[in-house]
Amino acid sequence: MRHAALALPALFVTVSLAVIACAELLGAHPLTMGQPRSVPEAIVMRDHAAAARLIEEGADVRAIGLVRPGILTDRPLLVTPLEAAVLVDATAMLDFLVAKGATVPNELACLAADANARTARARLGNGTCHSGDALRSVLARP
Amino acid sequence: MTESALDRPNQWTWLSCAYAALVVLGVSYLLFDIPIQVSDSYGNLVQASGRTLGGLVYDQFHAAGFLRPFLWGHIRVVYDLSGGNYYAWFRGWHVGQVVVLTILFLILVKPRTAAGAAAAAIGLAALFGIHTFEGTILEAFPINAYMTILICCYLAAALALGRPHWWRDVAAAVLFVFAALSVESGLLIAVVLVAAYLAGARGVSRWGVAVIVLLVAGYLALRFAVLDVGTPSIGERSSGFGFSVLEPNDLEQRFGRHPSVFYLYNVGTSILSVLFSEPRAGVWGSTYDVLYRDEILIPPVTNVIASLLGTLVLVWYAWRRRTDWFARRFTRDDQLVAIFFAVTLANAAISYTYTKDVILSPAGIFYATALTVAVKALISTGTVTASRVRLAALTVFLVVLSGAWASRAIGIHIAMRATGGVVRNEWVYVDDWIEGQGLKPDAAGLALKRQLQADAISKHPMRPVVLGEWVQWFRE
Repeated sequence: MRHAALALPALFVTVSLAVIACAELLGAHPLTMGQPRSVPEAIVMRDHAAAARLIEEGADVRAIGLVRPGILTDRPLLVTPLEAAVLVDATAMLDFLVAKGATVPNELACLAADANARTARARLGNGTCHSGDALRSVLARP
Repeated sequence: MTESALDRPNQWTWLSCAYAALVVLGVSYLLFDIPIQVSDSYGNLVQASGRTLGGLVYDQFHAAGFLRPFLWGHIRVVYDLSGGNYYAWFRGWHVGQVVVLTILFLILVKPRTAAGAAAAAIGLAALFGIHTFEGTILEAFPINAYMTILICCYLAAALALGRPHWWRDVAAAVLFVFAALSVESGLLIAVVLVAAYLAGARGVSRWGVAVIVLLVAGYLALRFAVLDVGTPSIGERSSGFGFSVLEPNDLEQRFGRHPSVFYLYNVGTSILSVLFSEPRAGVWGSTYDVLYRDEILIPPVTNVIASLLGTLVLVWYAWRRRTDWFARRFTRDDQLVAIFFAVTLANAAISYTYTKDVILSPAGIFYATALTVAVKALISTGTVTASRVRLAALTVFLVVLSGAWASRAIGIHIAMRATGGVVRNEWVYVDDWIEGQGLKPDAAGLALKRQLQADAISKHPMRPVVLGEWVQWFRE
């Protein structure tokens, strides 16, 4: 019995992993938020492949999508894919979206500045706007 | 139990096998989810598919810096076997390699008692959780050559530790040739066989070991005198030194005139890395964090604690067995520990020009087997101890050791999951990568790209990202 106790930590890890794997195979998603449900959500989850797949399947690269609470912030967010890419400072995704037909609005550079997204800011340049306005307007979406 | 009874599998063996199967299922679930990667895999597949098997192997005998013809042959064979179903075959091959490695681990450590089964559980956590193992499952080229060498190393040990037979001599020679011509660290097969022989193992005979030594000489002659392949130079790659990574130019500037200092540093830090998980690839990262950063990260501390406690058990084992060793009396468990010490020294020695975690993976897997037999001995010692205080202290020590290694095992699972995402994201931007590399794939290469990209992005979507602050407890 004492021998089992010594192996208990390793045993616990192994059994837990097996339970998680089985749960996932049965469709549950313990310890995760499940698959991304929109292009913006995929982008903030850093699942660029899912974003690319959703776009390939017909998702609009300009459409505002929901990012569920607990992924980027504690509250739900409504953002476009470009805004999502700026919020997580993913410039490669920014270029990808533009190549897929997204058009870059002027406010995006301001959002990059507000979100302190350094590489996105370097890519988009400096916008002419009041500090914080762009981020506030994104957060204020109903 | 008598010696012959201990040789036969019993209920503890089957229990360990069932447990190992569960461990392998967990690893395989995530390993199969990592797609064929872009860098080091797509280009290699294009190259491997562009020549006949014979032509490919022949070309590799004349490559500069590396002598790895059988690695390329291995890639080509799996490529042909796949019949175009690359994801299933290459990822399945990797999973198969992990299964074989785990079976060989159990064959070597032979769990036959309750103590042996408990130690095997800790040993399996060490096998998969040690930092040197990461590079063998987080990457593939698209065949992970290091994993191939690990299997060859365990096979060599199993051959040497078995009952003597002529076919073991033949198998050992074939294994050495295959491993040495797959990756340079395949030379360690010779170290395994010689160390086992010196520690009294006679599975491979004296003549068999002599042939291996001759083959090593033949390899060196072929590499340096006949083919003039040479070794990578000091300024060929960036490398860790002190608290940072030095670029090739910096290395050339600092050590160009006195490379022996750099070589000694690499050998020394490689040994320390296997024993203490610090430094890693020549860089004292955790030490830097402790000395200069306000925030201390949990995973590197856990790594060092796990290795420190494990190494303490190994030192205890060696000290306890010293009298018998000086009298040249070795048990099978002693032989496994002796192989570990020999492989660690040799593995560090061949890392003299360049050290990184995965190069030390052969030493890492023998660390796991040596730890298993040493922990088994420690548990058995605890069983016969009279003092309750000593027993309690021993139990606490072993639970902490087991917990630390279990924590490292969680870390590697999180890393595998994250790698699946990283590799898929690379496929989104594969065209940029191809352009950046200056590659100009032909029609077949482009078709291969489209297929691998579709496999990674559409056909095998990533498993959801694991979220939560707790992830940082196990993985940086």
